[in-house]
Amino acid sequence: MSVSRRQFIGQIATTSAVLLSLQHGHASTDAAQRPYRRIEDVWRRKWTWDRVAHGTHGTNCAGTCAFNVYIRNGVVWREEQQAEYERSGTADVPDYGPRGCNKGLRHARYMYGKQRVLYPMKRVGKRGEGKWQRISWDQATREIAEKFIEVAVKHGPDSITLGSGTQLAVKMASYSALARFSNITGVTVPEFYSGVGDLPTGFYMTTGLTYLGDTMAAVFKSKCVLVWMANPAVTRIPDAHFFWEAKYNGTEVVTISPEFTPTAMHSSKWLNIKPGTDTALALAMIHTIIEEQRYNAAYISEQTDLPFLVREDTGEFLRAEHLTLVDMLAVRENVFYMWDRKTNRMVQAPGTGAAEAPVGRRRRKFESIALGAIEPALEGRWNVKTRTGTVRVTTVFALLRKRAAEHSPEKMAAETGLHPNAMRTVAREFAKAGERAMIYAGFSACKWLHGDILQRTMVLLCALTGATGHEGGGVQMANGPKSRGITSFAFAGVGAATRIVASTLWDYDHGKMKQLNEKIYGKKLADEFDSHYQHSLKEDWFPQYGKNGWRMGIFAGENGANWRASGNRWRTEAFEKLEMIVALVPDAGITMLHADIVLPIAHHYERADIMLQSRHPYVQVLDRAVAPLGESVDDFEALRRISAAISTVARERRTPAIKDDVDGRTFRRDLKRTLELYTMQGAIKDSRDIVQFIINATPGIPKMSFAEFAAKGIVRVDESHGSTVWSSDDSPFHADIAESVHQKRPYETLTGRQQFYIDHEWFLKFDEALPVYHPPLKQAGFPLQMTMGHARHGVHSMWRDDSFLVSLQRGEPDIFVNPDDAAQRHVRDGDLIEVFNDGGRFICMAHLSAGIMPGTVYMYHGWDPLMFRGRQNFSAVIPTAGLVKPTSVAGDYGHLGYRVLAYAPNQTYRDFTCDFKLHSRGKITAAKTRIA
Amino acid sequence: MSQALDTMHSTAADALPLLARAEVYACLSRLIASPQGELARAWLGHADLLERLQIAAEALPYEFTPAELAAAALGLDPEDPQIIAARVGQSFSALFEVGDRGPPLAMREELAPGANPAGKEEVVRFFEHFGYELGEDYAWRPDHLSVLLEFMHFLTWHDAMATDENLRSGFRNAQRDFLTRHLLWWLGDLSRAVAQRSDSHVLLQTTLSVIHSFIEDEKKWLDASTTVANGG
Repeated sequence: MSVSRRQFIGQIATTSAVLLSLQHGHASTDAAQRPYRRIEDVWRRKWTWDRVAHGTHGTNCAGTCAFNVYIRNGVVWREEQQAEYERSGTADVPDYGPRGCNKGLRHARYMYGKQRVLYPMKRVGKRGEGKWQRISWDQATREIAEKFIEVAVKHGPDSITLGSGTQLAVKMASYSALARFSNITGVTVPEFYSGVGDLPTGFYMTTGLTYLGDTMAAVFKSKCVLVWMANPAVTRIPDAHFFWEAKYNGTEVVTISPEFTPTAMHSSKWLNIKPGTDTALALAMIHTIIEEQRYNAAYISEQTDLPFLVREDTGEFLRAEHLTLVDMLAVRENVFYMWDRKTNRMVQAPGTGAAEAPVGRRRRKFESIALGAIEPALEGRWNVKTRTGTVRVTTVFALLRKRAAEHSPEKMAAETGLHPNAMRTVAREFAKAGERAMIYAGFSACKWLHGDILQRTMVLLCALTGATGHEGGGVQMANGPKSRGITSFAFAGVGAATRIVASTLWDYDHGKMKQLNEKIYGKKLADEFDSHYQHSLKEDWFPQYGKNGWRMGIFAGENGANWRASGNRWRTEAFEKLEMIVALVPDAGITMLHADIVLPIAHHYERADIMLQSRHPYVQVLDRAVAPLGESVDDFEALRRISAAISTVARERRTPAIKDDVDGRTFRRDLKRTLELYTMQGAIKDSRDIVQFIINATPGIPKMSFAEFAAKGIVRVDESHGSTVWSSDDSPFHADIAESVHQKRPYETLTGRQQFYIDHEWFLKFDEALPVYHPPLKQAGFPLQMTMGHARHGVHSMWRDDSFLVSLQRGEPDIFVNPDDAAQRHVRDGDLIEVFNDGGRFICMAHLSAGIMPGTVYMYHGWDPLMFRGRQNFSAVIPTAGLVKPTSVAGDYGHLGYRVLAYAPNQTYRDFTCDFKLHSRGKITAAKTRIA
Repeated sequence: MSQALDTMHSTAADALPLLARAEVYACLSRLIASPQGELARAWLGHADLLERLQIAAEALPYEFTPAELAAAALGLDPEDPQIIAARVGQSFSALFEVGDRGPPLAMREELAPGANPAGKEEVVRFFEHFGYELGEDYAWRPDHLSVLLEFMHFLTWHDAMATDENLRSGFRNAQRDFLTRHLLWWLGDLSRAVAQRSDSHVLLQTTLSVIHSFIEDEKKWLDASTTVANGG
């Protein structure tokens, strides 16, 4: 290269721009004339904000805490709590606000963290190798579209999944976009509630409702609250104050937990129960309440099936079809009976036998369960003449008394590790609270194989005390918003043609989980579980999609390769075999790293959306504070671009419309029209349009423009003043329980009551017609029960890699072990240990704690596999993914049968044991990671 | 008119070494901006960045040569420039855009190990003080190496063009402070980290190395040519 000063001078002399060469910025007019002597000069000017927006962190912590977001130069610099909440309900109840926690307050920095994915990427190395090529959106969406069409045409659209995680689902516009895309294209959506083991099927079995719960302020109204399988001091930080304020107000706060949690240490009492034996405790308490006649007879006579008559010969409810041939021919299987003490005659139970059978799927608003003049007998034995002869009948309550007697405190002491007096004391305190007896239930129950039974007993306890449906009483877990806005958007103009399947069953089908069951739990269990599942499929009780194989996976708003039980097997048998993996992610994680194409997604403060969580009576807005970083876009826009590419490629290829059979209905899917349908012929231009659609279509949300919402940040929902419970048709949340209790409307169950007796043949076969205690499954040779819980410094898998939050812990994944167990294995605090069982092994740091009972180990969850040695996290030792409980796939029984996000098997995470041994000596190196 | 032109020529010639500094900063900023941008195009021969850099370096007020950059380019196996560009881009992505728990190396000061939590704010305050405004696409990453280098280009250009000695002195003090507080402290570690990684392309290694060397030379020159301001 020949160069010279002369050439350079020549360039300068002839260049009008004189070399001021800016590509990222530009120069303002005269500021460069400002003098500078030293560093203090740049700090003198007052710092100002361009704008203060309203937002929240859009994660599934259910907090929806209102934050003011401070913006300057298109950057979120800081955030603070928007403390403008009104008071809770009545004047004596503490306020909701301000709300927030350590995790949320990291967001303004986390969103600029190095984990952000900023550009569309294409894999150039092996899957998981981390070698990428940055590509354009056009290239990315075109490659996705080409594969999408190829698979959809050849194997059917149900061979493609669009997985959604809770991060996405709690944001209503984002979830609506996903729901509409999946409805139009026919892809399968493996739903995440059962996938993460959060589906409270026991509540559904009993009440016909999935989620039971009022606002968090209702806790203050209780007189005795059992905090059961929950740790609100850690997981409900903005709301935990209600528990402590209630305690100071005289409420008995009892925490039931194997671990001495931060919640337990602040409670009035702590029952340190052995893991997985909670149903034994519940039944022991039920025994106490019944034997000491502390139950509310009037309440259970009206609201529950406890007075219903049951045949002693078959264990079935006595039904009309048993009585006469006419009734049998009329299939009057939903007419039930009770014994009227007043007339000493059998009478039909009010509210049963509605004409619109089969019951359970529709609310019988015009029926009533009010007893009128009937005085049902709760106990007794009677002879009843049926069409096949005289049979002896009794009541559910009488059977329950017997069942409870099998679980007396003395009999359950060894199982639970609790003294009988402790169980009796808590049972008496609970019963004494009457209508204000509350169970604050965590989602952990769903993660045990027999957690459904525990949930049935929880509702039963609250029924016996007459608490369910009253302010300050009943089971509190989480209510769900009425989904009318979301479903209306998803189906608008196209109808419902969607495929949603329980992740548990999808994984079972495609991950060869029966083989895993055989290996871990033995052939007998594997065969038994599988035969029931196959029977359920054969009878069409549950749907099965993807029969031509799982070919392509699109993962949005989730880190599915992180949290799955039996994750290794799933990755090997299913995930890695996909022909194409697409990840729509804001942040890096294990799922993204195995993807073929990665699309960058906007963070919470970069999108317009609303959130509705029943913990407080407010709609929370996310008013796009700043533009998405890099080339990231929100979920609606990402799916719009994919839709556009699908339409383009389909037109180029002249792809004919696909005939698609969904649950017996045939649809014609013209992929050329994907974009047109997705955007409602262009009417929906961005997420704000969806939000407005949802506002207009969802009951209980004040009708105003998105701009008005954005200006306020938080807006109180309709009908939420003066009470802490959801009790009205006008509520945005489900208020059915209150309506049943106070307006006597039948429950959405087969019996129209809170139904504690289920006489489905499978329930009878497994002795689960009434709640029963089944011990948790264990693995021979592995003595330690491992449990997990939500972390203080993360929400699910979100923020688990935040360097500052990690520095507040041990600096790397750790597991809590009892000092005696550690000593027996020559392990010291801070050592690296190998946790293992038949399923696999992983390595993490031993964290010795006397708060962990001997024989157990405990790990806060959500750590990404990338944070472990060998990229192997705890899922290696959780072999439970194949445990599809037969009674969770039953059908042809009133309200039982597949119902999306209500009745389906959970992916369980608890029924296993393990052991650990020293891997290598270590020392505590907490806070090793620097603040980013 | 001709007198004005003569003045301009004269001014430009006097300012040559100083403008050369500004030009080097501009070139380096562009080279490290993006795998989709000038860095790739430079190796494809569609830009004159390397040549501009070389010319400007020779006019600097001190000895500095970026020859190793050109040598690295020449030392590559002769193959399709498109392939070279793609490899550089892939390496850039793997190093700075994505990886286990995020990209393995940080191209932004805020993400460098040991960063001052208030560092980004100070960068923005520097920009505001001197009237450098980032475009919308870059506003969220004022601490990106490419932006920091461009700001140094901005300061050095004003330094070169200043007719008021007090203003020039201020620009130079600012350059020294900005270099020390926002570039020097982390750039060496980044350069070494890039050099040590097996997946880093030699052109990226060399570019970072050249930038680091240049920054160090700049600091020495600035130390010699500036005076500490009085308080007040």
